[in-house]
Amino acid sequence: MGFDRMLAPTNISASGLSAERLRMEVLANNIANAYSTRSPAGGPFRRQDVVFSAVLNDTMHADRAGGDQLGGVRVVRIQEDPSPLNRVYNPDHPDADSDGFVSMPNVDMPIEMVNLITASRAYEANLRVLHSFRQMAEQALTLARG
Amino acid sequence: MTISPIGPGGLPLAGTTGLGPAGGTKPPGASFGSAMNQFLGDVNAQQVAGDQAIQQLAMGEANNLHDVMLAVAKADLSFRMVLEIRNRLTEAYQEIMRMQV
Amino acid sequence: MAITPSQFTLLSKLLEGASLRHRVIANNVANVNTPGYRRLEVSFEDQLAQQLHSGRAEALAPVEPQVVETAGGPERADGNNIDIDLEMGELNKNTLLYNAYVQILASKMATMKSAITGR
Repeated sequence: MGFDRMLAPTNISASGLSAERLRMEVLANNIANAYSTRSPAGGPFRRQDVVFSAVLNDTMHADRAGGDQLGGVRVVRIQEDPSPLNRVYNPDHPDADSDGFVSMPNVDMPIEMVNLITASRAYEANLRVLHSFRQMAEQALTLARG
Repeated sequence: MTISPIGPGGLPLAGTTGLGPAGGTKPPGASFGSAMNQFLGDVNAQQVAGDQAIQQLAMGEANNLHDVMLAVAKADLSFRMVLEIRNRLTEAYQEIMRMQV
Repeated sequence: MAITPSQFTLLSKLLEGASLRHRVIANNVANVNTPGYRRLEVSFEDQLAQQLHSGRAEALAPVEPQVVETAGGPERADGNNIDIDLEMGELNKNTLLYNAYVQILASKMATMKSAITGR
């Protein structure tokens, strides 16, 4: 789009907002599935995490003078946490193995909560930057006024 | 009833001092021209001060933002002031030029 | 015909720098949770001050704001050295300065305009 250059800060902040929102969705999914012993892939649910990556619009890293290359952030993929599942003794559970142990998801509530706060704070920070840009643009418009 | 003729001595005009350059005794150096010159000099000085303040802001040497903004506002105001004086003066001149004699 | 007000070049440069800095801060904030991301910043003022000290108006022309990686700085466990408080402070400062530059420029433009129209 023709305005992309002019509104680049908007796009950068927007990338941050959507990345943090996606992170929050993934966290919410982790919390919702904290006790899911079954998953479409088979076996208990495994906690997921987003992988963020900084984006450079041009692959050339050499000349950054213009700042055009700054492309914000992108979620590269959502990957499963390979850490061991929690084994809980509960012989009455339908998914209990022959020893009476159930493999529960490796979701750790405190970790999810901390990540949730981080994500929400980062979301707010991006919003602030967006707001600032709007203020600056409004100021710039006064140059041509009257 | 006698009507006195208009002429020298008839009306007490002769005794009054005229407005022209011949009559008035004005202190030297206080002409309007020099006052205007001084005004313009002041305005220019304000503009230069404003520009210096901006430069200091750019170099990070400004102590605070309001000093810079004040210097710029002062430059703008003094310019507008002198401009208004000039406008009024032109207006007055034109008014005199339109005067019927 | 030069009808631009005095310090116009300087103010445009400053605005250019502030606008780029905003973009860089936006990028830093967007990447606050990106592992291994190195903070970027705009290096501009030192070069500008140096040229201003030289005292020639045309010396400003070659000054271009540069985006550079911040050297050193405390780093989190994931290799990211963004401090969100620092970024927010920089953001506030930058927005304020940008607005100040715009207002100064607007004031100068208004002076110029009244000089042209005589009103």
